[in-house]
Amino acid sequence: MTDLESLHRLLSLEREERESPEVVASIREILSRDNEACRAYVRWTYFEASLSWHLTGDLDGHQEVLRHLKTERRRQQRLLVWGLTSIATVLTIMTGYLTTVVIRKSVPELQIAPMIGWYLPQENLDQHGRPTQPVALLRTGDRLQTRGEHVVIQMSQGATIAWSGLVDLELRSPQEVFLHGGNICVKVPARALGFRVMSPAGTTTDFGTQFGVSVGYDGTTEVHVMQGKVELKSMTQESCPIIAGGARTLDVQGKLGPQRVANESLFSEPLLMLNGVTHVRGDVRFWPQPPRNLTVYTAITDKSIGMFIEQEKYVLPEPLSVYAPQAGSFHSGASPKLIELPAGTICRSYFVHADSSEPVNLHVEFTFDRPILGFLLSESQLNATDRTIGRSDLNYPIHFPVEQQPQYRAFMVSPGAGSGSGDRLAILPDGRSLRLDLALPMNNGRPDVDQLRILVADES
Amino acid sequence: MATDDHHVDNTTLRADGQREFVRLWTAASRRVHSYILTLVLNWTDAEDLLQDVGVTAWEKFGEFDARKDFVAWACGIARNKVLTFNQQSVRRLVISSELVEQLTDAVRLESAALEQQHEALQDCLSRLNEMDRQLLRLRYTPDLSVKVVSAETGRSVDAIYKSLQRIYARLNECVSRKLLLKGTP
Repeated sequence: MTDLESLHRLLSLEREERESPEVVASIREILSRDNEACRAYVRWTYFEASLSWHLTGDLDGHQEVLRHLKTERRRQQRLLVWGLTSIATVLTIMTGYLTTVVIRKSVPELQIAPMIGWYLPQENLDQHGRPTQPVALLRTGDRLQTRGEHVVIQMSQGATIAWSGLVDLELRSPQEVFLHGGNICVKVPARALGFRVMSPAGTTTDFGTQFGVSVGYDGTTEVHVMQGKVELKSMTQESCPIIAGGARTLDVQGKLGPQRVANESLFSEPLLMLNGVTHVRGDVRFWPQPPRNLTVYTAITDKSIGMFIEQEKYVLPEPLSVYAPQAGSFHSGASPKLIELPAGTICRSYFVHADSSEPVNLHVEFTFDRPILGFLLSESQLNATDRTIGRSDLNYPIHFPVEQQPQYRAFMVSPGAGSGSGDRLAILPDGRSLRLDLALPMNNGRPDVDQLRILVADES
Repeated sequence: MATDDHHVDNTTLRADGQREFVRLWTAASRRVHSYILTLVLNWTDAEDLLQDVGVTAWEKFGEFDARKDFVAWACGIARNKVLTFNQQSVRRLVISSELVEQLTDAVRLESAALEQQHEALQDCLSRLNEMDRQLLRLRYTPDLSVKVVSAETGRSVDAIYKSLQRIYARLNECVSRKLLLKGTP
């Protein structure tokens, strides 16, 4: 039993027993050797004291308490029959929810174990992207064992972890997890620098990045870095840095494999989930680190669609005219209506790019975790927002000489103008899902590109 | 005449000081009480010591530098009281001065989080139904035992304890959730 668990057990005793010299001595012994327990203890005593102050400050008298309790008792008896029916319904719903993810609590009685994260539900979201069911909280020591589910968890310090399929993950602290098996993908913001993924073979320490870790049945660990940099350290303390685009393997004997190219496709679904796309169907690749040049002749996507995030928590500095996310099916001859997003709107911008060296039709469906606010579909809209919403480290077509620019750069070519391009946009009634049908023809022997910006609501 | 003026000035100053002390003490006493409880881990002792600290703080209020934090100043008095209390009491366990410093440091480091916890708790309590809130009060009402409530309401002692545990766990969960949303781990 850890110090924290022992402390919890002692603090859970009835007051009289808890205040006995033996128990107080045991508590103090734990506190003097364990700083984490000390912190938990301080929170506990302040919690107890706060509760006492809140509750006894307006106590009118014991008789009033008793009178109320008796009244409540009678009222509850009357509600019993009605309640039984409701409970049966709730249980049916809860059973379905709880079986979504199997959580084995290694220390189930440890109420004092600090909360270190929570689930980000990928399903059962309302139209605003808020969960329709309670969000499960995660504590130190929780071990998550999943079979085929899509799971995203948010650690309290800022790191986000996503996976789908067979995974066995133990949560050790807000900054440390132990991956016993399976593939996970991690996105770490600057404030959670130093986040660690441990495995039977070694430890991966983050330096502000997006990376994937895969642990096989024999404990062999593969680390693929999609963005930023990590350090991989074996159990024998041998370590090496891995930068974006790189991958290394580490076996349980601590032997490091050669440097390889990162295989993003191993983590394609978790990568999308980490970046606010809860569901995807079709040929799409998410780029944590997009290609530098986004114009013709690059054939960077060829027979798939590329997507990346340009901005997160972006505050519109001035009103912006966008195509509305109204439910329906649209094409060049029937575009959504134009609306104006007010200045101050907080959004996330996704850039979608498709090009091909030969004529091709592509289809993809997305569901975002937040409501879609609008679309930038026309060439003029895209050109006008490249320098504001676009990423400063990328070259959009407008940055290239005319001969290197595509003949058409847009989605649906010229929405509302009536010229058919074959592109179609379907927006689903939930306000978070859409389907894109992209047609990439050759125009006068010159390849076309389809590009659009999707603005999705983001939290402040 | 001069004596009367001096008397009036002193009285006025004293009345102003008293008002100021009451204002500061009212705002600080909960935190001082929590700090004392952290050190002594005994409700009765903590309440006795809080009264003692209040009296000393009032007596020494003239020495208090208004530019400084009153809570920190009062906690300093409380710390000394606890150490003296340790020496005087033969039947109680003595808390080492190292542990007092360790806990004081922990309180200082956690002070922002502890205040957020207090606010979150207030909000979470307001979300409890009246029945649960009243039951929870039992834990903090010294003269009202669970047995008395059991006899009066017709509910078993065990049922009342279980209800209390359930409410407490829910409250704890609610506070933790709120702290996480505020970015406090």
